[in-house]
Amino acid sequence: MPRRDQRSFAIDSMLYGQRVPYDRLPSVCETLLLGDTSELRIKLLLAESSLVDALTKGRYPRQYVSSRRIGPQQVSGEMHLTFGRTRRRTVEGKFTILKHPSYSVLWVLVTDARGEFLEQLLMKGMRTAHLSNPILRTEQLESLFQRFASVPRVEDIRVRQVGTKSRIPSDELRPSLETDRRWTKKPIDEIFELAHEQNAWITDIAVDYRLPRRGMGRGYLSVGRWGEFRLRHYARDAFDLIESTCEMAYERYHFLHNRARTRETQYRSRPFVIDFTFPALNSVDDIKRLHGAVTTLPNTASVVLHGNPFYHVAVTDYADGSMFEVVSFSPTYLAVIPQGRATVRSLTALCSAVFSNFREGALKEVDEAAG
Amino acid sequence: MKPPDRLVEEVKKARGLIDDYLGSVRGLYAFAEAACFDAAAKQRVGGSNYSIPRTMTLASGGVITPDGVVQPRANYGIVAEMKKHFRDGDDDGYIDQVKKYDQDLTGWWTKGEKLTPHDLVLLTNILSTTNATDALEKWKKGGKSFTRPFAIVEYTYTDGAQRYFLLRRMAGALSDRTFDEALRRGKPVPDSVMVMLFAQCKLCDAKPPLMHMLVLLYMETVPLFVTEKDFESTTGRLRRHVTVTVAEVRDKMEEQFNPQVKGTRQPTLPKKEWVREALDALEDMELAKRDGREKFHIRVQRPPQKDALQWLVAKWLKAQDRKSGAKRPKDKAQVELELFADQPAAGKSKKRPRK
Repeated sequence: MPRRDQRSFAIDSMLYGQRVPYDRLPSVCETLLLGDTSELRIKLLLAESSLVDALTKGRYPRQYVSSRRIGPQQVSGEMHLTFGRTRRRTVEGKFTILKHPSYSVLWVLVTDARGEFLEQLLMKGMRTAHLSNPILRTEQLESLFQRFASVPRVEDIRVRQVGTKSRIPSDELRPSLETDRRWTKKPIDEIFELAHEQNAWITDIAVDYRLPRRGMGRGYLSVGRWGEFRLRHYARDAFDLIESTCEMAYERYHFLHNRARTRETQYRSRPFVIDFTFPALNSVDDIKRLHGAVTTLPNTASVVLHGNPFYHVAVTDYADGSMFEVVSFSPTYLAVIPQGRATVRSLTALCSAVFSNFREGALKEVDEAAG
Repeated sequence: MKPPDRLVEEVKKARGLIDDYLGSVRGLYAFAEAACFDAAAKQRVGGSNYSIPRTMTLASGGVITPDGVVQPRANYGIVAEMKKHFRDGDDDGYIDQVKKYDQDLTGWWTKGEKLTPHDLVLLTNILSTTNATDALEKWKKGGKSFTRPFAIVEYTYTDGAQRYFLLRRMAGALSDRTFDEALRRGKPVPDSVMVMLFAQCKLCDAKPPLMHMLVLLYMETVPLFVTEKDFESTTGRLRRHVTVTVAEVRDKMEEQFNPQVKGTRQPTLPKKEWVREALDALEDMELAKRDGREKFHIRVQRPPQKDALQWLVAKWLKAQDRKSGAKRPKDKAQVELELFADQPAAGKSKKRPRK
């Protein structure tokens, strides 16, 4: 078995230490996974300003993150962090972040560090970079895997693990959600069908798949709804799915961009709706649950202007001064009305709060949903 | 923690007053949009105009400001007055108010700004329609009448398979037979229009409740004076300060909440005195400091409670108590804090008073 310093040397020299053109990333990852790297984690990030500048010049906790500019489109760094009050833990590892060449606001973070490294890096190490996460609905995850399954060189896709969330019927104001994790060998289609039947939404799904050109070799791919991927054994074929996710993330960004009421928009905002496609807001209890979901937004304050029969709340997000109103005109959809400032980050946070704690819904223009 | 009853009552009252006011604003705009909508073509009538409110000139040369003036076509106009609540036994003074518009008015969107004749509408909430029609009957029995077509139109939200904002003509008739018939049967206002009304229409000619102005000012206007970068560079409950003048705040509120095309007959909204009153209230609430007559330094902070209205009302009540010198029981949260404030550290005894 190669020594630990030899393994680190390989990934350092191929990924963290040198400039990696984005189109070479799949082959670099594949080479590392075929070598001694057991798993690579990839995370998609949305940032309107340069992450290279944010990490190398900006204000951030330098005491546990150090970064190095590799080029205008890439930054590498390492983090060493000890945290926890009652149970002290240490995470350490390296990462590299590349800018996507086709989508200007999309950045791709790659790391081989395990455990809580990625979560702690984003929460503490990159907090001041003001990132948004792409969020993939169950429908979108299903569409991604359908596309992946249609790739000729990929066969016999089997689900290994799936995480789901569903609602526990309850009268409480706070959302009562049940999280479930199953280890299974069911085919992909059945997993999504079951989720639809149970009115659950999928938070993450891990599959393995066969690559005939690799003989008996099986690749492993896990996809999380926040745009996180784990790759084992092979990487190149999984990058098709990752690229599709990049496209979805960018479409979502583009949809939410420039909706505030500003001089540029002649002081007219562009409201949109979250369409649940069925009567999700039929009762006062549903509205209470929705309000519970909206109030989970961190660093915000809200004014409930109306609660029954329709819901109307004005929210101010003190992270960046965004303001928006949320109104339920119909039992099947929720209107989001951006006000004088409404950043993509803030609107994404609202959608995430609703999807995670109330229900998933498709984002549409008002005319599209109202018909 | 359950807030004290006085606070609960005041928050409920404030929310009710804001809802009432916004209902009136939306009723006016919804009526104007409905009048200017071509149902057959499913689009706004080309060349239609409306203004909420609008200053019109009387034949005598005086001016009058109806709550709404609508011109769906070049040769047809409607003057609308809003009275959300008619209480039982309310006098017919509000009908007299509408009667004031029953004369030639100048200020329409025509060459020479004249349009004769025009219709008159009194808008009211569904809960007040009966009282409004009773007031009309009483007024007519006094020998009074309108020379122009007059109608009472009610508005409400309906809650069926879809929620609609509904307008319905309950008394009188309008001269546009098609529009009148649609109102007689009940005219729903589509969601796309309602979204527009909710998005921007927050003010009309009537003075808004103080809490409504405070919410619009503190929660939806003042943050615009802090840049995104400044917000991002301070986190948590760190406070930011902005220095603004009454005029700057008024202008910012107008561009945000009064979406209409500006003109000489368009009263500016909000009125400067409403903004000044709200800024004075912020000063009393210790959220702003005056610097001369026109300038204020405002503390921009995230309310410590998720329900910002409750926080604003609590601060306002405290300010009122301070002004009046009234000694009221403190908020439970404060009482609890004081109970534990001077507890001696464990193991140490309290100092005995000196003899």
